[in-house]
Amino acid sequence: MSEINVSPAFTQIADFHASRLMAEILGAVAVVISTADGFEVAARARDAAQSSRLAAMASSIAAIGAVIGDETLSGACRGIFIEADKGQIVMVEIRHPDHILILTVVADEQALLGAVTYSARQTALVLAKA
Amino acid sequence: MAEYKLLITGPMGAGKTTAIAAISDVPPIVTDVQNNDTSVAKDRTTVGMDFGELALENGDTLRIYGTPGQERFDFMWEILAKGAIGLIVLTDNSTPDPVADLQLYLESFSTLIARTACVIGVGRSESHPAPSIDELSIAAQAKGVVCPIVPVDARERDQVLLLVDLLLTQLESR
Ligand SMILES: Nc1nc2c(ncn2[C@@H]2O[C@H](COP(=O)(O)OP(=O)(O)OP(=O)(O)O)[C@@H](O)[C@H]2O)c(=O)[nH]1
Ligand SMILES: [Mg+2]
Repeated sequence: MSEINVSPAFTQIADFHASRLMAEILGAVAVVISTADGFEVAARARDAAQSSRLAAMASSIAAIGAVIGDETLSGACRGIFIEADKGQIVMVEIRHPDHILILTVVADEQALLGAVTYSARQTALVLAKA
Repeated sequence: MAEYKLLITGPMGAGKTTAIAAISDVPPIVTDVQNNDTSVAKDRTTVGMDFGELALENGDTLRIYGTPGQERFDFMWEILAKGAIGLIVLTDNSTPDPVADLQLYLESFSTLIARTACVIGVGRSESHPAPSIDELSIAAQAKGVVCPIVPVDARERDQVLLLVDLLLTQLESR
């Protein structure tokens, strides 16, 4: 795996929050904290193999979201919400001064989109200051 | 007046985003973000896609898409390949193993290449003459691809347009 320029201290905090969200969010399937260019920083997932793919996909879709926000004069993209048949996926930007990261939460049908979004946003704010 | 989709791929830093910006009639759509991979000295890298448009003399329009280079984005490769009428592979002769790079993209896009046409543009061959065009050509043939291979500077509009022409010529002769 490539070396990424995220500090070990930040990685440790990110790991703590990934673990906490996984336990706290009802129906959580995966929680991934990743860099804007698609590297996993911390993750908890029922299927561990999923997390590095999620990191790369979050990167692509966030970048496309950013372009759409920009082209429609809606401003910067803060989050992307996917409502699927059997679950929901919430991706929110972590605007850390050193680098933009993305927090992705995948949850199954037990989860409420509002609750997942709220937890993800709160955590993103905490991590932005970490 | 028809619209056609054309795809540009190749390794990180080969010049895909640069090439599309060089030939697009409209300001290109760019999805580059800060690069956090310390093994590659590059500030920003494409993680979603590039997009530009080019009007042809006959009134047709080319919609030109660029892929991210890194293999971790291979799901975007698949999405972007859909409906393309041809592929340009840009390589970079200054990477540690340009032959392996080329073969990776030829393999990953083999379905598209088999269905359409392909052109290979070799970047930075002036400063890095090896591997030669012949060697790259043999490497492509080993992957079942016989197509034009030409040196290119992705920053030069005329040189990128030549790649597009070489691709369109192949399609016309089909
Ligand atoms: N010296 C030299 N520089 C080149 C040449 N072709 C491209 N470049 C430069 O190389 C860089 C290529 O950057 P990009 O266009 O972002 O490359 P990319 O293939 O889109 O890279 P990723 O999106 O990271 O995969 C730019 O700074 C170009 O100016 C060349 O033939 N010679
Ligand atoms: Mg690019």
